Amino acid sequence: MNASRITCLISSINKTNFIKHVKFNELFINIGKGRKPYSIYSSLKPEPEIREMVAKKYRIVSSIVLTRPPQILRDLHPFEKEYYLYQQKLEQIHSPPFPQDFYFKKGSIAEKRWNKRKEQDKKNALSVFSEFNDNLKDKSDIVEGEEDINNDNKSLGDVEEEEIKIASRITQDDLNNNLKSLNRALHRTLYLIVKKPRDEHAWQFPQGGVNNRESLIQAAARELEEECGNKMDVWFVGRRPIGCYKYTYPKNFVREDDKDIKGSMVFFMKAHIFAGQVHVDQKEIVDFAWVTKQEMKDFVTSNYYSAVLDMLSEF
Amino acid sequence: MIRLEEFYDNTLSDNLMILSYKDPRTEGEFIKKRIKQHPPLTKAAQDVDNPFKKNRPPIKPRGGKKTQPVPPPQSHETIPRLDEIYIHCMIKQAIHNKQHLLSGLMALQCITSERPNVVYSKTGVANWKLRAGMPIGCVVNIKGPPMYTFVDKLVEIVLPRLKEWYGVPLSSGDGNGNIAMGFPSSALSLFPEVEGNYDSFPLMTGFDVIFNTTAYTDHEARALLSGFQIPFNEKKRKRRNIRVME
Repeated sequence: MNASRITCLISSINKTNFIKHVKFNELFINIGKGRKPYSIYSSLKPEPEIREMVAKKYRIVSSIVLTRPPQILRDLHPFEKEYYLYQQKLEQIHSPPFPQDFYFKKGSIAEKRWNKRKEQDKKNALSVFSEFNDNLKDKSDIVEGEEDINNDNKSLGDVEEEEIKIASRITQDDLNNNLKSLNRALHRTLYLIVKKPRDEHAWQFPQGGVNNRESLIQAAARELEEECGNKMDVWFVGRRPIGCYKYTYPKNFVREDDKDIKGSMVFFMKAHIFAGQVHVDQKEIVDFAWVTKQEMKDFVTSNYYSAVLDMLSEF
Repeated sequence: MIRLEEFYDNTLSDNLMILSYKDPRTEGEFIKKRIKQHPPLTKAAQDVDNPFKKNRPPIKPRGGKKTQPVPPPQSHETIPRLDEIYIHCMIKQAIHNKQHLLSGLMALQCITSERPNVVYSKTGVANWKLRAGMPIGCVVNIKGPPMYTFVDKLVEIVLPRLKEWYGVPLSSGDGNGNIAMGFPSSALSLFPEVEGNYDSFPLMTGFDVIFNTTAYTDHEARALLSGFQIPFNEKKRKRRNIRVME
């Protein structure tokens, strides 16, 4: 297609197919120049100036609830622990017979090792039920009679099986109470709160005003980068806010730029952190901490805490 | 305690609630769209005073088109959840020799820890020499802890070691939040229970895994499954009608 063809098309424009032709024409031009569609119109429009969003005399503020999900299973209540143990042993006793011939070749080392494990498991499982205790004594006598097999297994087992070491649930940062570490309280969800250089309402989730040219999520991402650095791998959970907190400024507090504004409306955006750490700029933010829901109560004001309480995870 | 179940309760369900939330207007439109598919009742069915209706079940609407379920109003109880999994395999060799079924039955039992059922063919296919009523495959249904254990094994051990597999195609799904995927026979041998005892299985079969979720759309079901780290292939989308420019 060439320029003469375009002029031909434009000349044939009438009222009915005007829009159709304009769209076609525009698409053609844009593909040729490698631009996005509708870019010719945006260049003609004057760019709107950047200013803060205000709705009904309330400043719109976007805040980020940056979480680190639990890394290990939660701590069990003693009753839960007992329950799961009981269920497990009940299942062991009532499970259908194991097809040993299918899994192990007769007389193999693996089979011997399996037999030994089986006896031990049975003993452990039966010890829960007091009525089986008498039977247990008889069985233990039989096991003692086959000592030579057990000795063989021990020597074989030492060579092949490596013992698995389970890491501690409590880390060094837990013991030192290092609130800046992400490697603490592994069984709980942690939340990032930051401290502003002022006496009242100092601790908060990172937050900042929304411009008229960006969405809540863009504003949250921008504020996080400005205040806490760009050395974090962050994923936002959806584009919708998970909560809102509306408050009015105290009477003696007057904003310099706009005296009409009564207060702020804070929208909270949820995000997960996968890697990295906060690096505070010493201007807007002076300190930060990774805290659980319960620990957060000691940092923030009671009004703020009651506003964000329901958004936070109990685990 | 099952790891994935705990993960769902602690973290994933919170995120899914945020991701699958529809504002009242969108939700209303979605419900309306679903209700619209249901054909209107006949005049006889609409008439309440009709003596014919007394002590009889309600008359079914006309038309053979299948209707999609209408979701209840959204709440904390309607967050998409993994309901059950069906694992199914069809063994073609069983047409000639029923003994081949045993291998599939044992393999499914090994990987799921539940006893599978034999599937009998409903219709015959002359080309395959298959007659109606012949045993042709096996299926197992798992729920609760065994289901989460199976997903854990699939995601952590089997899927990372599969060769030339780029994720579940996005075209998978029945439109009501149930997603199915098929695997070749090489995937079955990657399960630790089968791998350790590979010589005992004379026949390795491919198998289908069908995830039944409580989600009402495929999009929500995919969000749930990807939360369990099941990868989806974005390149294989459903074919849509391409708009022709005039």
